[in-house]
Amino acid sequence: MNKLIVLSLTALLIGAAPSLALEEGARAPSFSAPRLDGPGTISLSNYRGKVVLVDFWASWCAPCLVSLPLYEELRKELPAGEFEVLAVNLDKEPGKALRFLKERGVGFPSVADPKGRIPETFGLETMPTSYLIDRNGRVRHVHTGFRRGDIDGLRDKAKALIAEKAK
Amino acid sequence: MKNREREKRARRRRARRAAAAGAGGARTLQALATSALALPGVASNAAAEGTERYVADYTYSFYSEDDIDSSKVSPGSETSRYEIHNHQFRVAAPIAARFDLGLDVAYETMSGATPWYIIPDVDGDPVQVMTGATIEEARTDASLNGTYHLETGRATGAMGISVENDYLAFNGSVSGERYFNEKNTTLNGGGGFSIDKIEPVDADTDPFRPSKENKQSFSLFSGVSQVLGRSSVINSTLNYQFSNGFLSDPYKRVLVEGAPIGDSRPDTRHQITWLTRLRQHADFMNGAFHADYRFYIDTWQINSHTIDVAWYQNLPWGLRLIPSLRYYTQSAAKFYAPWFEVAPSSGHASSDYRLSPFGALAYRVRAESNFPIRETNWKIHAGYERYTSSADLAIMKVALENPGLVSYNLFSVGVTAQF
Amino acid sequence: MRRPAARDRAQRARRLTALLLALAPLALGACANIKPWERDVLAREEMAFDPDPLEAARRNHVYFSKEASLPGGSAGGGGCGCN
Repeated sequence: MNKLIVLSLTALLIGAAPSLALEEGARAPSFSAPRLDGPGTISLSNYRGKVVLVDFWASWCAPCLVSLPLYEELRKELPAGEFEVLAVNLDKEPGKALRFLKERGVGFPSVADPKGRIPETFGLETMPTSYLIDRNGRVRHVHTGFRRGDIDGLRDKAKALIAEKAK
Repeated sequence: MKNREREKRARRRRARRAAAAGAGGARTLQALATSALALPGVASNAAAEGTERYVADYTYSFYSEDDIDSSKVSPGSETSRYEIHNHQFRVAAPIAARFDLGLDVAYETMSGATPWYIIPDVDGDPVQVMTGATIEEARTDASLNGTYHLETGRATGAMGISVENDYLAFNGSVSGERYFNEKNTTLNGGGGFSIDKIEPVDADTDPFRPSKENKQSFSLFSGVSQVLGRSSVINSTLNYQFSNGFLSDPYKRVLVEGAPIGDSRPDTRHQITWLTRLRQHADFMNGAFHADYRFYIDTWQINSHTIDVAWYQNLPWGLRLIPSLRYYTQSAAKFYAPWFEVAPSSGHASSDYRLSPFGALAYRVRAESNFPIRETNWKIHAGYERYTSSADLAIMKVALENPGLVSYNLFSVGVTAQF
Repeated sequence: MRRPAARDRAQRARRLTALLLALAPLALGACANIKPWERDVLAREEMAFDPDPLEAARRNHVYFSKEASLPGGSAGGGGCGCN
C-alpha cells in the first residue's frame, strides 16, 4: 500500500510527458491555410529559402498581443528578402483578431486556423509559441510563451539563421 | 424573591460602574486580525495569472456598521458602531525574463465604538455594553510579492508588514504551482508564517489589559485546479493554520460570576479550511457563474459553512454587472457564553460575538466598465454590499443570540489600468 | 469471529484508498483535455478564480474580522494557460 502511494506521488511529480512536441532539427510540418486578412491561401512552403518565424497566436492570449508589434519591428529591422513572419491565428471568430492586426498596423501575413489543425501537427503545448524555421524548412528554435525581453534573443537567433546559406 | 431582585440590581450597578470606567479607549478587532494580505493565500492570488503588462490598481471602500439596537444595549451605552475608510493600492510589473514583482499597500482609518462585554438586563436577557467611541485610528499594510515562471509551473514568495499604533506584524509566504495534462490540471501548495506583536493602549489604566503580548501563526495549504471543459474550471484547496501565543482580545471583557474580567482564550489554535470553487461560463448568455463552498473547523470547536454565488453578466460597451450572494453559518467556541454564572474550569471565557453561534447573509452588486484608451486598458468599478447577521440565520438552533452581532453597508469604487 | 472481519474490512478500505490515490492523477487527466489553443473562454476575466484580487483581499479581510473562520483559498490554474 505504501508502495502504491509512493508510486502515485512520483507519477504526479513527473507529470504527463509531452506527446508530439516538435524538436529542434525536425522538419517543420507543411501546412496551408486561408489568409485571415484577405482572400487566398498561404502555404509554409511559399517561404522555403527564407528564414521564417511561425507564430501561433489568438486575441484572447495577452502575451500574444504583446509579441505581435514586437515581431513587426523585428521584421522591419531584418532584410526583407531573407526573413518573414507568418502568424497563424487560432481565434474561433476571426473578427477580433483582424481588428487587433489593423489597430496595431501589423504588416506580416496571418492565416486563420479556427479549428486548430496546424498547432496540432506542431505539437503546440502552450500559447503563444513561435517556431524559427531555417531556409531548408527545419525547425531550429521553439519559443514557448512570450515576455517583453524575449525579442532580443529571437533577433540574435534569426540573424544567425539568416547568415546560414540555404543548402 | 427579594434577594434575587437585590442581587440583580447589584450586578447591574457593578456593570454600570465598569462601563463608566471603560468609557475611554475602545478598539477594533481589526487591530488583532492579521491583515488579509498577511494570509499566505492572498499574496499569491495577486500574482495569479502572471503579468505581461504593467498593472496599477486602486480601490476605495467605505464600511459602516449599523447602529446597535437600543434594546440590545445596556442603558447609557453608545449605540453607534464602527466606520472604516479603506484605500488599497496595487502595482505589478514583469521586471525580468521570467520574473514578476508586485506591491500591495492598504491604508485604512477607523473610528467608532465596539462591543466590550455582555450583561443580563432586568429580564435576564443579554445586552451589550459598548466601549466609548474612539478617536480616529489608522492601519497600514504593505506586502511585496515576486513570482518566477517556469515551463512546468511557477514559484511565488511574499513578505509583508502590518502596522497600527498598538500592533505590529510581519508575515512571509512561499508557494509553488505545477502544471499537468497540458495545463488542464494544476497542483499548488505552500506555507506561510506571521509574527504579531500587540501593545494594547491604556494597558496601565485597565487591570485586565496586558501591556505587551505576541502571537505566531504558521500555515500550510495545498490545492488542485482542474479544467472540466472549454467553459468550466474547478479548484479545491485545503488550508491548515496553527497559532500560538496571545490569542485573546485585550479590548474585550466577559462577565464571570458578576464581574467583568478580561477576555481569555486558549493559547493555541489549530484551524482547517476547505474551499472549493467552480467557474462555469454560459456562452449563450455571455456570462459566467461562480459558486464557492467553504467548510471550516478548529480546535476551539467552531465549525462553519459558507456558500458564495455570483453571476458575471457581460453587457454591451464593455460593461459588466455582477450580483452576488453569500450565506454563512458558524457554531460557537467551546469557551463562549454571553456571561458565566460560574467561573469556567478551563479558565477560558469570552463573550465576543465573533465566537458566538450565528448566521449571516450578504448580498452584493458590482458594476464595471472596461474601455481602452490607446494602448492602455482601463476599468472603473463600483460596488455595494449589505451584510446582516443574526442567530435566526444560523443552521442550528441558537438559545441566546449575542446582542453584539453586526450588520453593515459597504460601498466601494475603484480604477485599474493595464498597460 | 468479529475481530478478523473488522480487520479485513479496514485493510480493504486502506487498499481501496491507496488505489484511488494512485489513479487520481489519471482520473483527472481523463476529465477533459482542452488544447492550449482552445482556452479562449477560460481566458476571460470573468472565469478567473479572483477576477479582482483587491476586492477578494478586502472581502476576506472584512469577513475575517467579523467572523470566526479563516478565508482559505489561493487558486492557481484555469485561465488562459499562457506563458
